[in-house]
Amino acid sequence: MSDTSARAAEAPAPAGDASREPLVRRRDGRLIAGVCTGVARHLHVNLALVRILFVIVGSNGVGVIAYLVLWAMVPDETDDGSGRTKLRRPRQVIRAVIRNRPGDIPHRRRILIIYIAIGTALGSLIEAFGWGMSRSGLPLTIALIGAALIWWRAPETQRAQWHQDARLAGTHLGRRGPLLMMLGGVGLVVLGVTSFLAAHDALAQARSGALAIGATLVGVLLVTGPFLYRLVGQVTEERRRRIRADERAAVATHVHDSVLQTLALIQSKAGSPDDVRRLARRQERELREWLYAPDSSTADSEISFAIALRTAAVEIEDDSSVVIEVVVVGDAALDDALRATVAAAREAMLNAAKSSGASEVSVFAEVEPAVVEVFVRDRGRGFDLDAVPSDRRGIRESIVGRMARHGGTGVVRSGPTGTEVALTLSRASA
Amino acid sequence: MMQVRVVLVDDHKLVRSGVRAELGNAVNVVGEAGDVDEAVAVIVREKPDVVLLDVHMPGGGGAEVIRGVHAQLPAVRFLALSVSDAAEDVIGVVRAGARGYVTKAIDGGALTDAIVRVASGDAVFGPRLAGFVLDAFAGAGEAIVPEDDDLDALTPREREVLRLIARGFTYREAAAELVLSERTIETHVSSVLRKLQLSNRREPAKWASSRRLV
Repeated sequence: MSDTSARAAEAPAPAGDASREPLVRRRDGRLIAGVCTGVARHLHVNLALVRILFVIVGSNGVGVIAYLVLWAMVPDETDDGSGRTKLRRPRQVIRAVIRNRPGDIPHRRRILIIYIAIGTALGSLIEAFGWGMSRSGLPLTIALIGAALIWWRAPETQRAQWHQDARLAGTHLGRRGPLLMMLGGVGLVVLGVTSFLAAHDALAQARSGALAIGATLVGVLLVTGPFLYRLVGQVTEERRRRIRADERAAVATHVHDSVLQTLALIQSKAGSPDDVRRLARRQERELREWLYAPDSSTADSEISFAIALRTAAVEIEDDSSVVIEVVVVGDAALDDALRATVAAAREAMLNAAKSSGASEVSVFAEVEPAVVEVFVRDRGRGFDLDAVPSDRRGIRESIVGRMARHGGTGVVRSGPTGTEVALTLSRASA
Repeated sequence: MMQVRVVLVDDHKLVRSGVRAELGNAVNVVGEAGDVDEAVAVIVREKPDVVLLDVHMPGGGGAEVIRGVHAQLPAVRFLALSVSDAAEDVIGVVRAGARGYVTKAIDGGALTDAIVRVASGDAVFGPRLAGFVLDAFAGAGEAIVPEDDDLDALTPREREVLRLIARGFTYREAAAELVLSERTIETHVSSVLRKLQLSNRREPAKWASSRRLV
């Protein structure tokens, strides 16, 4: 117990360190081009292990190609841009391998040969004993490279998590333990898959083609998976950010076009309370509509009864200094009779705004399947209906008469506590 | 007469001081709060008669405050005060337990009146709330429902009362119109409120969107 904790303490958190070395080819300690050295340092893996693996998978060519690709792609640690030109011709490759350069480790070529010997020996051993793998050398190699790529391309946090998991599982193996265990795990999985493939090869020759394709697809997915995943994540994040920015811009535009303009107008009309009240009211209404309107997409196509009634109220509010509270229950599409009802209600609102002296007018409309009712009420001074001169057509013609023509009724009740105009339209006949 | 003790809950300090000024000395404002947690703490400490409650607040809004307090202090009454015209918000707070809803445009006298009413156990329905409630219960087969305990429909009388309130009638005017006592009107309104709070089938968001309300 104390042993493991001591080890954990002295191991400088291999995964969590943000100072993971970048993948560069190392000049010091190179055998060929420093690819293995660089990979080993980058991944915190034993150098000898990396070299032997490369030689083993190199025995069938794939490892060699991988090595050359890494050589070409991975910059030299002292790269000044010329690093990638060194592989123009095969001759240069051979010269780079054979010739010693200043700073090389002693006995470089000898060590290289020893590694190649060990790797080849191990490779032939695997081929010889085979475990049924002799035909699976290529898939195995590809799988190994795939695993390495997964490890390399995985996000830092993910790698840290893997490290963490592995450490929890096998702290007693020490610092290199987790990685060894994980590589072993991957190896075992690959082994299982390949032996499975090999075992079925004899039984089902016909199916091996499909299996190979499947295995390749899985391999490609494994290799590109993390990368694609991150790409998708980035695209989603990007889109979210853009939507947010668009929304903010829309709000800013709206605030500028409406609220700021109104505030400027209010300042210039500060001397006239009526104008200020009207402006503030109009702005409030407009802002409310913008904030709480359900979705204006459907409202454009058809103007409903409720919208028409509200619009009428808004127009009158704008022309006078009264506040008109509109409450509508239910709604219906406009037809001729409903249009007439709105017009009559408009007339009633106009009367209330102009002559009642009240500062507030309430409008209540209820749309039911059988009947539509509208009430326009103010708490103004009221008037005597019979005393209205007959040449004033407002009430008689525009309200009562209009409703009657469409099969409805308009009733005006007026008294000292105010006036109420009640419009009723039966819809069964309409 | 003892003054009604009131706590103001609104996340805008400006609104709180404005309301406080409007109320003047008519009621006794014993505390203020700017968010849900603060509100619950103040209400539990002061045990006011009435809480004037903003519908929209950071941390859950008025409904959250009511839920946080109602169980331990059932005597405290809530009056929703809002600029919001969204039916879901208003009905949501009323369903949570508020005894009424008034808009912030209300003047001091009417607000004081509403507070006193709520303190005495009445429900305060303005035209707008009456409209929302009518809409909430619309299409539930009105007029054929007998005067029983059915929570899903309003009785014809309740509908009549609500419609008068939606038309801008005060309780007194509605009483005169229907030849009833003002007390009876209040009973009807309270009964509507109870139905609204107990009926689970009136999910506000659902009907508000389905009926193109507001």
